[in-house]
Amino acid sequence: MEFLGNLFSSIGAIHVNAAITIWTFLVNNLTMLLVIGVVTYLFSEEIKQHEHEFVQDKRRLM
Amino acid sequence: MNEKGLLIHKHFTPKLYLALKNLFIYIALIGLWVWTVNMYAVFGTGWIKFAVALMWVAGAIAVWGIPEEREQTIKETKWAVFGYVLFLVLYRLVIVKFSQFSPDQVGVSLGVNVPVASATSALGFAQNILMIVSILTPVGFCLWVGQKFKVNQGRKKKDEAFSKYKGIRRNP
Repeated sequence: MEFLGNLFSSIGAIHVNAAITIWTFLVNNLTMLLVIGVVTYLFSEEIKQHEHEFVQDKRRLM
Repeated sequence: MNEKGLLIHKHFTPKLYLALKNLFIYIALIGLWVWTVNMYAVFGTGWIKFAVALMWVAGAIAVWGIPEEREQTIKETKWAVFGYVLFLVLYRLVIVKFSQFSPDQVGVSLGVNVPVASATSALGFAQNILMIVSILTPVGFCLWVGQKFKVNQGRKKKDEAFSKYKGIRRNP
């Protein structure tokens, strides 16, 4: 039992540590993550726009 | 299409070429931003980081909110961020260069007697311009995005906006 207790506590500690690390990373790099998200959105919209232009070009050719 | 364009399109499809080009532009802009933030030390992490993020978010809100001007707004946002960051980089070089001259040297170059106080305050004025522009450019961009919503009738599409006016206005 003692062995299991130690094992679970160490597993728990690892997870808590990981959670804290991830949380700290997110808070420290919040601006960068936000910008990457926004830029990805803009990029996807631009690609959609190009797709639309290509469809229009094809229609014009046909 | 020019010869260079044709050569590129032999290896890439036009869609892939445009996608890669845009991806490269975004990565370059983010890289330039990070470099500038590091260059400006505390002012960079305290204000420039936040200001550029604000510009990106404002541009994205306009892209989401005004479907009629989507492509144009994306281009304008990219150019605004690029112009702002490039100004910060270049103007910093100008200030560094100008700070090398002593008031006496400035006086000799102008051929007049320049008081020490005015030569020193000129450098301070150049630094103040940097601060003012670095604050007002993102604010101005956000105001410009805001007026886009007003001009384009919020999130309405062209047909919806015109039909609203037709309903309200009494035609003779």
